[in-house]
Amino acid sequence: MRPYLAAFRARARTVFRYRAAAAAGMFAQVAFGFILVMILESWYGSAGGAPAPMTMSQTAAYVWLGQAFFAMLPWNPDPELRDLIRSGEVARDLLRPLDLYWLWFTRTLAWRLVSSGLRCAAILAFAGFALPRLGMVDLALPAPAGASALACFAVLMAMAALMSASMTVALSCFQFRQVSAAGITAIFAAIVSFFSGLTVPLPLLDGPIAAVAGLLPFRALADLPFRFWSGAIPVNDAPAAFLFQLAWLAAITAGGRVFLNMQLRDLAVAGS
Amino acid sequence: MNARAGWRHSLAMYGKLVRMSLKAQLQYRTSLYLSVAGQFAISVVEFAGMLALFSRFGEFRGWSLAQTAFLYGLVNMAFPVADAISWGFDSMGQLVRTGNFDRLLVRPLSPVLQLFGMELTVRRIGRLAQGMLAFGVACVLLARSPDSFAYSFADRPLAALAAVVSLSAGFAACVSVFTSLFWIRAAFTFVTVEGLEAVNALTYGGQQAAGYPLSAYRKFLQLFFLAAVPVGAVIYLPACFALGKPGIPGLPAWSLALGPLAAIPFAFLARALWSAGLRRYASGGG
Repeated sequence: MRPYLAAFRARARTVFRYRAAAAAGMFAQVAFGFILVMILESWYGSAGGAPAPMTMSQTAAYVWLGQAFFAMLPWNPDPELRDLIRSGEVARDLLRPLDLYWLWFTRTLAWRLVSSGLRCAAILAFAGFALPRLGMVDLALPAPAGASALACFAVLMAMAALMSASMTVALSCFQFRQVSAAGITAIFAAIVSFFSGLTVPLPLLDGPIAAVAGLLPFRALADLPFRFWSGAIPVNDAPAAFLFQLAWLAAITAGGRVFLNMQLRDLAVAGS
Repeated sequence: MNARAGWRHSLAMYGKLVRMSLKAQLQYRTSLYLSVAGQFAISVVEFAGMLALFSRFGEFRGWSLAQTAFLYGLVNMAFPVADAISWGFDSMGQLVRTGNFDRLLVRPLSPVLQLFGMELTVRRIGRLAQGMLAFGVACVLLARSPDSFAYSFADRPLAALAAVVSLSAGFAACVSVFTSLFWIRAAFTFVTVEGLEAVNALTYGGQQAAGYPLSAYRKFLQLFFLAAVPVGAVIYLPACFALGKPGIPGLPAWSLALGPLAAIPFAFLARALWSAGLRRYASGGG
C-alpha cells in the first residue's frame, strides 16, 4: 500500500504546483456556467412543451456543480502517462515491483482529485455566495437539500472520482497504439460530456436517448450525485445509485486491467 | 516596393506558408481523420443538446428551432474558421518562452502574418461540419415555412438583399471578432508570458453564448456581447433583421442590419493592444 500512497502524494504535489493555471481555467468555467444557467432559465421561461422534471433551482444546482467538478470528469487521458509512453519511460515503470494498473490508477486519481479540488471551491463560492448577493438568486447554486442529501452527494462523488480514474487509465492506454490519440480522446470526451449530463441536464432529455443515458456509466460521474445534492432524487434511492456505481466501477476496472495487459503483451518501447 | 506590391507579396507568402502547413498536417492522415471526427463529435453533442431541449420545451423565447439553428449554425461555422486561422496566436506563449518569437521578428515579413501562416488547422473542419449541419437543418426547415423570413425577394427585394448582405458581412465580422479575441490573448503574452488563459472565457464562452438568441441573457450580459466583445452585435442583430425579430427593442429594424460594423473598432482595439505589447517585448528566451 505504501508505495501507492507515495505515488499519490507525489502526483498531488505536482498538480498543486499548477495553481495559477487552475485559477485561469476557473474563470472560463464560471463564464460557461453563467451562460448555460441563463440559457436554461430562458428555456424554463419559454411557453409550451412538456413540463420540466426538475425545478429551475435544481437545474441551477446541476449546472454549477457540473462546472465546479468539471476537472474530475474523464475528459482526457492523463498527460503524464502519455509522456511516459511517448518517451519510453514506461519501461522504468514496468521494472517496479508494483502492479502497473494500480500505480497508474492512484496517480491518475491524485491528478483528478487535486485539479478539481483546486477549482471547485472558488466556483462553488461564486455560484453559492456571490450570485445571490449580486441579486441573481434564481441563477445561484442552492444549498444542499439537507444534511443527508449532502452526505449522499459526498459519497457518490467519491465513487465518481474512482470511476473517473479507472476510465482515464483505460483511455490513456489508447496512447500505446496511436501516434496521436487526439481523435479518440475527443470522441470519448463528447460521449462523456453528453451522457454525464454536462451538455444538457439528463432529466431534461426525452425518449430513447434518455433510456440510453440511464444505462451508461457516465451519468454516475455527475448526473447522479448532482441530483442528490438538490433533492431531485430522494435520499432513499441512494443505495441503488451506489450499487449502480459499484457495479460499473468493478466492470471498468476489470476491463481496464485486461486492456492494459493486452497493450503490454507486445509492447515495443519507443524512445531513448 | 510600393504598397500594392507589398500586399501582393505578403499574400503570396501567406499562401506559401499555408500550403506548407497543410502538407505537414497531411503527413499523418489517420491521425488527422480521427481528429476531424473527434472535433465533429465533441461539437455535435452541443447541437444534439439543443435539439433535445426543443423537443421538450417546443420553442425558445419565441424563437423556433429553425430560427435558433440558423443563428447557431452561423456562429458555429464562423468560430472554427477563426480558430483555424488563429493557431499561430495560440502558440505565442511557447514562442515567447523559448525565444523563437525573435526569429519571426528578424524575417522581412510582418510577424502577425507569419503567425497567421504558422498553421491552418485542418481538424477544425470537424466543428465547421457541425455548424454546416445545423445551418443546413435550419435552411431546410425555414424553406418549408415560407413566412419565417421577414422579407421575400418577391415582395421587398431591396430589404431581402440587405438581409443577405448583412448576414454575409455578419459572418465575416463574426470570424473577425473571434480572431481579434485570439489576437488579444496573444498580445497579453508579451506581458504575462503564459498568455491570458482567462481570455478563453471570452472566446469559447462567446461562441457558446452567441449560438443562442441574445435575448436569453440578463441585460448586463446582452450589453457586454453587444458593445464590449461584440460577438452578439455582429451576428445576432443581422439574424434578427433577416428573421423579423425585434433585436434591440426601440431601434428601427434597418439599424439591426448594421450590426456587423461593430467588428471594425474591435479589430482596431486588438491591433492597438498587440502593438503596445510588441513595443515592450524584450526577448527572454534562448
